[in-house]
Amino acid sequence: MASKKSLFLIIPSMIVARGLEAIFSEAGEFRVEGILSDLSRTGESRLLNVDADAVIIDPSVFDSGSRPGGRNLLSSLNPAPVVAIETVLSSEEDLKQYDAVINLFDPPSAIIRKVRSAIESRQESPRTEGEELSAREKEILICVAKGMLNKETADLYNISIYTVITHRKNITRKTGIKTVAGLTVYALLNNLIDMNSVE
Amino acid sequence: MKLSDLIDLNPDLLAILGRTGIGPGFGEATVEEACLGRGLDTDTFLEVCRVYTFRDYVPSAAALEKVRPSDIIRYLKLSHNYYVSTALTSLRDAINKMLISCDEKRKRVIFRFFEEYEKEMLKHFEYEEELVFPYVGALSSKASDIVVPPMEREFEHSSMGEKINDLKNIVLKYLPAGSDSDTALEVLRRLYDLSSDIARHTSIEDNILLPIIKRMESHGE
Repeated sequence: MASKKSLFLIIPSMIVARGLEAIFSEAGEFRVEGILSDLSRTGESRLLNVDADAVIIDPSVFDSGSRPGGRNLLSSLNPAPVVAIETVLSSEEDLKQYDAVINLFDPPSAIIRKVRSAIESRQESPRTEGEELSAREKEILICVAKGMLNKETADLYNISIYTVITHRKNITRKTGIKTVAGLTVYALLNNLIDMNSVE
Repeated sequence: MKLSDLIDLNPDLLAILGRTGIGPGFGEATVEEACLGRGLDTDTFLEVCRVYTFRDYVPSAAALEKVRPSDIIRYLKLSHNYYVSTALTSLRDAINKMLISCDEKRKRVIFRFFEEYEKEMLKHFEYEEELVFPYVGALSSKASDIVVPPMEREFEHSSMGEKINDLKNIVLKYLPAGSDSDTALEVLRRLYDLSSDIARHTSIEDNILLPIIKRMESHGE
């Protein structure tokens, strides 16, 4: 089997943290890389530098004001998928931002499964896709270059407007080009559209 | 401190010299002497130097108190001159040379993108020179007939920054076949230089000029 997946825990309760650590070490496929009891400044810098396959966090480390933005803060520090463990009652909205949610009463097998699938789902998208634009992204790019609205593009391909926006974000991430005019140049240079369709 | 030592510490400051009228050949002059000789306020000169030296530098309120608005305006105007008559024209020439053996269609696509960017810059400079700068002048001379420009509370630079960044990526990553790669490297160097110069220029406007305008406005009331 490949080397053990490393996990990083941010959990204030030592009972919960040690309990999870025990479950992971028994399962054998995970290794706990480090445990933080809060997200202080030193904690943040540790998270910034740790190379973990997944982060497990108790959202109660955020106060109620910063909880809705908790996931974003974490992804600005570390690209790993984040699994929440619900120790105190949290709103569904707050939990939805995480890649998976562990319940305190989950049996070990369910916990392992959730963490495993959070890591796998993360690996699938960027690695198989590479940095080249996918066929669908090219289609969306053509629409952008033609000056179509997100809504029109969504209707044309029968997808939601949010999916269109996600594709557009990925196009910009891959090409490094943000403006519509710049994307149009890209489309023209790569023969995705014909000069005449933008004149 | 001797001006020559200051430049030695950070050669990026050479860009400022041209826009303050301090030419090379200033001998052993200290920073203060060189500024005095050109009728510049030393504190203002040093604030501009700090913006060009420290990334994300934001002057404190106390530092802003010492800044002379007319010197900032003069500096910004001379930077505009530099962008228009030197930076953009040499970039244009280099892009032309880079694309000279490309097919006509691709050449036009890239060139038109550059021209759009250039047009946007010129429009932005014009807005500042015709509305914002005179407004600051009127504010500081406490003129009674002040025409308040239809001004957004920020200078709307974001799309210009994005466009130059896009152009950089287009040349770096998607340069069409047949382009001259030596000139392309020159174009890239110019784009990187211009984009970091403009980022500092923007920072002077947003973090020095804008707070000064706000302060003068509230004092006037």
